[in-house]
Amino acid sequence: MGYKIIFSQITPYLPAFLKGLEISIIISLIGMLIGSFIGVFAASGRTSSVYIVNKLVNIYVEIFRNTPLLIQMYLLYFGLAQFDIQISSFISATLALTLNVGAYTAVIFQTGLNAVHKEQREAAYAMGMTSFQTFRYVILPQAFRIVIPPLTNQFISVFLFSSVASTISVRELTYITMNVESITMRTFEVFIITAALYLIVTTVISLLSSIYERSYKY
Amino acid sequence: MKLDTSIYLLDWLFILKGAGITLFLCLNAMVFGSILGLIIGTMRTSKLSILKYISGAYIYIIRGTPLLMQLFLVYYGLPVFFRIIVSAYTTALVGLTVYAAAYLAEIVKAGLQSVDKGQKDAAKALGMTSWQEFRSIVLPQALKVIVPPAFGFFIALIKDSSLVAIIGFIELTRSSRMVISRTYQPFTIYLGVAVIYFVICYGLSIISQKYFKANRQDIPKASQPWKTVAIKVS
Repeated sequence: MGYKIIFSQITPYLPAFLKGLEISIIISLIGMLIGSFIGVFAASGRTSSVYIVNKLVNIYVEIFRNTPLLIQMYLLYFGLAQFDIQISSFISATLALTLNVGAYTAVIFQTGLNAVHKEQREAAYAMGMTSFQTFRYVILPQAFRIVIPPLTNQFISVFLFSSVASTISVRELTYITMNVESITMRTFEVFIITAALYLIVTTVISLLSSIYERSYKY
Repeated sequence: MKLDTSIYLLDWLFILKGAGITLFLCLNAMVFGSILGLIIGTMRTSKLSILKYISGAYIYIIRGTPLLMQLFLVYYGLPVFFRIIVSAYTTALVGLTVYAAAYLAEIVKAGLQSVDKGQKDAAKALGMTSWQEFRSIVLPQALKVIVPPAFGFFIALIKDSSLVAIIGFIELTRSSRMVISRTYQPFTIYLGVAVIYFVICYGLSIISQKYFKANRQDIPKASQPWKTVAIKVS
């Protein structure tokens, strides 16, 4: 083996790592928040009785669920350049991630909405609630509790797959890692730091979710 | 002199060949990953706490870090740590196998735990050894639960395998990049590649829906996708 672990060469780059982590988190937060928003609409579109809406939403969901995120980013970043449309790498990465999350969360929200018993809706109507009130006070709170674990997983996987943005040169954590690796050639140390940072964030996300879930138990 | 930037049929055939290589790579990674995943998943349900912790740590680390980082680690790590230079194919295969094993181990674990305890007691009562019990009582019943989500993971693996293009293995994504560097028509080519990925993945998901619908009733919660992807913090 003969490989000595020396961390001293890496220490000057630690702020760069944290900066990269910050961008990773920002990208995944934007993707997750706007994506979930799209997901709720897409979920109600998938259960819609209007044929065209239903079909269009289904096509959107299936396209984004069945193609790689890398190709989606390439299409936005390199592909649109063919028509002289130039968007920055950060925006194309975030946009691709957001649309991707939208498709995945649509399925999650749909399962959540379907899991609420039909009797709940009927009972709410029997109490004289309007359909908005039923959705807001009866269906949504119950569905939300069901979708928390899969949404957490989605968030974790979005955070991990935000690393793909490094391929279109967004300066997030993986990009910084590769840069520092090529400057210092300390492969092992660099990857230990990156792995640790990724693990910390994913652990925190799942911890927060389990705390939230526990507080919701009844 | 004018450069010829039109896309020929041969270019598409070259990309289709890349699709074949992608499928071949994923099938191999799936086979090796399943073997490794079965071992690690069984370790996870073992009574020995050391086996449990080792397998738990493996799953935790692999599922808590991005695939791209793991691929880079294999790509740069193998020559640095072990002083061996391997082909791009081996690098890609090792990376994807390590990745797949962790996810499949979690699926295997859920499958093994779904087998009713009474079955094991009955096997013991019949005088079976623990290997016989595992081999002919627990595993066949667990497989019924394991196969549908494992197939779902295979579909995800095909999409994720596009990342090995970045470490230089010439598969579907990489071959399309090679065609683009001559034709300068990224949108057309990447759209075509997206269609190829879509046909493969959507086709496979329809097959899985048809094939696994029959015994969906007796699949317990363990096979729900989010249950098998959950990172457990204990």
